[in-house]
Amino acid sequence: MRQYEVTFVIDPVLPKNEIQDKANVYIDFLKGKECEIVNIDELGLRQLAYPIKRRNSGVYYCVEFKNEYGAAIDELELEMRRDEQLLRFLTVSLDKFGVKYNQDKRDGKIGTVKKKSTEDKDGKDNKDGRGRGGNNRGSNGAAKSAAPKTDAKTEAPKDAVAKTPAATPAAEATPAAAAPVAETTTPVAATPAATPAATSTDATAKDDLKKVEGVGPKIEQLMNEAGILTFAQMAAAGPDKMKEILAAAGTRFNRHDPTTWGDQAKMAAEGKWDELKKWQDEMDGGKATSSDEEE
Amino acid sequence: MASRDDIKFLSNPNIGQKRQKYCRFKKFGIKYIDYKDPDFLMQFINEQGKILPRRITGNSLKYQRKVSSAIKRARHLGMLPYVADLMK
Repeated sequence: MRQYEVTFVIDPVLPKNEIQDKANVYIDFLKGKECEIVNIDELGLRQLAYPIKRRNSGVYYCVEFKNEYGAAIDELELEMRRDEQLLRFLTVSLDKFGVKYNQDKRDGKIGTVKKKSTEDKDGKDNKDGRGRGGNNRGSNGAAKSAAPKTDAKTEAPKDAVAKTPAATPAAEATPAAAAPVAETTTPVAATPAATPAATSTDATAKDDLKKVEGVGPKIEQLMNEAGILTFAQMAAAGPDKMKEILAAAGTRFNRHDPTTWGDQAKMAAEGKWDELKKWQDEMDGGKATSSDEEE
Repeated sequence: MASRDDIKFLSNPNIGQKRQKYCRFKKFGIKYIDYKDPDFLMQFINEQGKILPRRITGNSLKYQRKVSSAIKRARHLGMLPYVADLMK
């Protein structure tokens, strides 16, 4: 059994349920031809790179299926060619790497595998002079003491544990990046017996927004300028507001996707660090892996 | 005494040094290039939407072929433009 993948673009002008129906028609068609449907991926409404049939956007679907010798494909493509509501379609046979890639993507493994390549890209981008948020791993240790505001007291013991390995290298590495807060916290972080009172009074004014995956020093600065200083404010702001802030700052921030930031900030504000960490591991550069493409 | 910063070079001293290029797919063990991922493929096209040559990206021949077919598929599906201006 060979595995194939058909991607098609449906006219977005149709009502939503008709779009869904149309996709189902093809899925049922494949099922009727003794194909085993492996996965149906709704990529959703996307902007087209160039107009097709006078449309500027389209609804993408991607269906993976198994079929013996691909006998059903000719008939499927004939149906698709006759359909005027389909903007484009493409059938591809997957090799073993493609099958594995799609499987990993479904399991959410790709985010971690691809992390390496994003780091590589980070380095490259920085060289070009355009910093890219995303990995703030190094600053975690030192930033942790600055971040929790009301929960500073409850978090204190865990802080101390987290700090001991990471504090010394991280503390030296971050002050440049972590803005004014870091200046006051670096001496505190260096001495493991952190006085919670000192950090909490300092941290109520400003949280380390870089804890949110996808937010780097540059974006943190932007957020601060826009009046978002704490996790709570960030959670309240919502993705649209943040998108505006990014858009106002120029085109190079376009690629950042703030949809998950609000939820991440909410977790951070409530002090659910473990959950947040787990979620961030699943994510890829601050984008939800399940929703659409990975890196 | 003039320190190193004061020395003025007639030509850029960094010009002769070549950076070793490498194939990122080989290096990071990426075996499959997804044509549905325009953001990733953006790295391999120039501002006009043309595919960058191997001598610039450093890809090995095997993966350059895969990249180019992935880009061409993405173009067909309207995820990447055939022709563009100032897209980066």
